[in-house]
Amino acid sequence: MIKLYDFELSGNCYKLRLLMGILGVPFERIAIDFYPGREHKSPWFLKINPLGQLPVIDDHGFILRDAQAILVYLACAYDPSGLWYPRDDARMLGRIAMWLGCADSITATASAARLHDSLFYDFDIDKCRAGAHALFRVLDEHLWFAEQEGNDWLCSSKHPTIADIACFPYVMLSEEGGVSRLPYPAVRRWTDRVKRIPGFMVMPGIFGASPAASE
Amino acid sequence: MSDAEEAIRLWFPVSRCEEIVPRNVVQTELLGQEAALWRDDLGFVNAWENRCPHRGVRLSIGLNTGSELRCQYHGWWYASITGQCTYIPAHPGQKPPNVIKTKRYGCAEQYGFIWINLGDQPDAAAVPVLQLDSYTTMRSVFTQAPVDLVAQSLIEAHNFEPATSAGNYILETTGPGEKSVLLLQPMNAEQTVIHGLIPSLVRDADRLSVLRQFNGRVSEMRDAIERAAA
Amino acid sequence: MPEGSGVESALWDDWHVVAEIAELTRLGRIATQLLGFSLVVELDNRSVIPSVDLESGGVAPAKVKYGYVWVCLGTPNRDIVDFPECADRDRWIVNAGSFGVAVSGLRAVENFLDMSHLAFVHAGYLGEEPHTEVPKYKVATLPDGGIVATDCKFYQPLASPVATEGFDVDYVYRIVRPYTIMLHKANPIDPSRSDMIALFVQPVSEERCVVHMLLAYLKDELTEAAVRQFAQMIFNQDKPILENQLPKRLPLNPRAEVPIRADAASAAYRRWLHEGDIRYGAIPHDLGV
Ligand code: FES
Ligand SMILES: [Fe+2]
Repeated sequence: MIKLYDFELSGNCYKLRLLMGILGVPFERIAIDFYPGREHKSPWFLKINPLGQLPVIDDHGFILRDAQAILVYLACAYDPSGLWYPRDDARMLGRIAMWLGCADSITATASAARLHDSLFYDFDIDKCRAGAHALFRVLDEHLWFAEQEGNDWLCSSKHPTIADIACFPYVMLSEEGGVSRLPYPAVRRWTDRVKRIPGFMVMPGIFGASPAASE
Repeated sequence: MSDAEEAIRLWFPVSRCEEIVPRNVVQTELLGQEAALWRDDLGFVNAWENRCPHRGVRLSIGLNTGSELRCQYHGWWYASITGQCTYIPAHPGQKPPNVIKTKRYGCAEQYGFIWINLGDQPDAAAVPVLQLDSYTTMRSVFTQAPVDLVAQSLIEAHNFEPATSAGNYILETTGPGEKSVLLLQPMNAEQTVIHGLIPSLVRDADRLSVLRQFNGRVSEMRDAIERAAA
Repeated sequence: MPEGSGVESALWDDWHVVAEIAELTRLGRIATQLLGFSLVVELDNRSVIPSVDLESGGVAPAKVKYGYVWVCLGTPNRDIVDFPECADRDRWIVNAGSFGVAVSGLRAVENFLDMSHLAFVHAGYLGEEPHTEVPKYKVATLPDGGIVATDCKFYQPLASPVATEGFDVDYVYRIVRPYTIMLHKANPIDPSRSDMIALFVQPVSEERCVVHMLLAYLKDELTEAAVRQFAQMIFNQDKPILENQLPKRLPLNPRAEVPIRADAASAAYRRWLHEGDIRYGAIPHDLGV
């Protein structure tokens, strides 16, 4: 079984639980005492990930770190439909890579703001929040026009991709860092759609959605 | 114009109608008051104060079931239209007292927008009248600047003028040619939403490019206004 | 020492948690805020007693107890709350971490004694639909001041990290100080004994707090890490609720927010705060409904 080195409150760990849950891939969680124990910086964990970061997976001896990289791996290895990461579609792969990069920027801003407010990390909070708002503004505009074109998801496809999974968690957790999503109504509609993907699961800080109206 | 007493009696657009989608709740703010907007499955749009009467939790994080809104904290149900609390899960055998109701705001649909009114006696006949045979609504643009500054720079630097007697809250482009109309939603002392429409129908084939161009122009003005406000 | 702080003596002259000792040992120095005042807690190599420097230049008394650093900004008028369970050898005494929350600490205390949210906010763990009913329970005042709620029973699918099935759990809540609450919860393996969870809420400002958790759990087959993870998960389910409460301060006027019978404990808490004239983090009676 896949082992996930995990911390319950981490949005980057959650995105892997989310994708594996949706794909129906069984996995075992190895809880790391990230806070306050800082076990991810402990000597034994640094042997697994010298960067001292979560998440990490161990798939029968194949060890991989970095949430976005792991999403790519999981979709390629465990999604027979090929829809979550369409390997033969050059444009889609380009778009997905672009939004995975954006997910990292969201982590560097919105997630950092949350770590500052909730867990007392020493970051420049104004800069984190301003950075998150700048990204959310771009995201909202992108999603608004996607809707106008009849697309529900980040990468202009009829089916969600790992890009949606990658960006979702720290967008949803932004208010714990004092980043209101009130100015981003198209983002709100998109997060509701993500919550209605079959197999969706929550984490602390993220609520589920009501069921969609039956047609 | 910025007289708060006066403003509270006015109607303001807060969202494009089509963005109040089924089974969703929209969080908005008008004159410092937060509102939760949601559409029931029959199409009725509710505009409520964004606070659960029970313990003050934002209703906008609640669940729209199509006929009622359920609060995320203790799961109380509030019926569409009346705002009446219809179910309290902690006491499932008891009918909730009639006095437990959400605070409702005046709400109207006009020109493709949802308009709300925070006053005690909202009069739907007082929704501003625009001389429009047809219209197409544009993307609403959030602006980090107070409404007075937004209106002032639209008028002084971007060739807009008041379109109605509603003061500087509704502006249109000056001069001949196709007009653009901008409708301002004063969120609070620091933020304004710029809603927009053009007074004509757009052919399907042109729709996306018209929307993109309009959004591009308003976003440029927004950026200039924000630089001035900073 | 800041004079004329404007903060009522019941809070000013009492002890409050401001840091975890393990975190202070790691960092050597922690800057934080208490009751609106900035302070720096430092540990020098030789002493276990931290020194606390106030922004205003003064120095405040500090103590270390239950794994936390306690500070009193005024003149201590009573001792730190006693938790006898912490002396039991067969318990894990766990600091489950400290979390910053953008709401009045009084709202955080009230949330902790609230049973009717368990089936919603902690669905699958501390409650579950359709088991939403809150049976009648008793509320009384404590001899030394404070509120106690007894005979609280609630169906819980996964009441603790060792629980394997759902059952009705017995709770006793005690609010012993305005910003301190503890819960005794029947142990799933030995119902004659209980696990204890205490919340020390640090009022950072009137609208911001840090929640520090202390757990005294019977060891059973549990590990300390499991106790901590469970507590962190549960508290972080409450956090987005707390941060979405409007207004951020706790209104004490009973007409400001509608209570029902299940809220008897919360209503008693608000009344007790009102009678004790606790205003910090509250909206007093006379100000707005
Ligand atoms: S706060 Fe909404 S149901 Fe209790
Ligand atoms: Fe809770």
